[in-house]
Amino acid sequence: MNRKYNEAKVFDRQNKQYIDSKLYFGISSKNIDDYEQLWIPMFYSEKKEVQDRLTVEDAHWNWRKKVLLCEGILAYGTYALEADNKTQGMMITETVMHQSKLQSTESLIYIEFIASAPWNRSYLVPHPKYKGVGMVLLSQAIGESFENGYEGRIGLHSLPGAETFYKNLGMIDCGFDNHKQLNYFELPIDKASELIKEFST
Amino acid sequence: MNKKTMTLNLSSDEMTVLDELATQKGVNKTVILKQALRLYQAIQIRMQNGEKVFVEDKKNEKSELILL
Repeated sequence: MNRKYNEAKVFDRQNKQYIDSKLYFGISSKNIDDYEQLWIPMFYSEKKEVQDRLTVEDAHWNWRKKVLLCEGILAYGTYALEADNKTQGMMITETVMHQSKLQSTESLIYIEFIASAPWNRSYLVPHPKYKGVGMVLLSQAIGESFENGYEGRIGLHSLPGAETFYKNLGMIDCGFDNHKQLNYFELPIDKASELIKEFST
Repeated sequence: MNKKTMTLNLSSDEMTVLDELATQKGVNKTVILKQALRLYQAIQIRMQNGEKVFVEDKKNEKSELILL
């Protein structure tokens, strides 16, 4: 079956050049296989070396199960970014059940899960491979937000290790959410437009 | 993605509401109907799983949402 995709660029840090990647709509069995066969072993083999610095906070995420739970539910969007014939990142969004905390009368795209492959993470490997995987996925979520009339609003609960990344993007830290036991971050509409402009240039 | 087309017959009142929502949200009517379908399905699934969906008013009072 032909999968729908958008072209995107990610930066190859080792060869210092942008390369083509494909952002697929839908997470396929190939992506799940990559996660299980390539990502998970790295989470655990590398973990010992980084234990003192940081644990891999999303190592327990079971993407197979998560994708299965989303199957057939129209409110969820699943995405996979592929480059070099490997899955470089994955994301699950929810499109109708979440309201903005910054503007309570407005809806937003909620990012349920987002992750980059372990070989792209600077805290996990000494020479990470691709830069910009998270940004490609987030831009998709922002685009989805515009398409839905949510003016670019997106929201997510951040794992502690990723908080700085989201703050640096201009997302607002709306504080600790007791229900999720994580801080909730939201991207205001002015920042959403800026990010989309920056990303497309 | 496979796309399918259908003709939808709406009453004048229904079309007015659809027009208003589309204008309010700055999107076309198809987007509104797709959102409505996604929301309806998401709530339906939760209720079928035995969950309850509540609406909370400004005084934090909750009333249960009942779907047909």
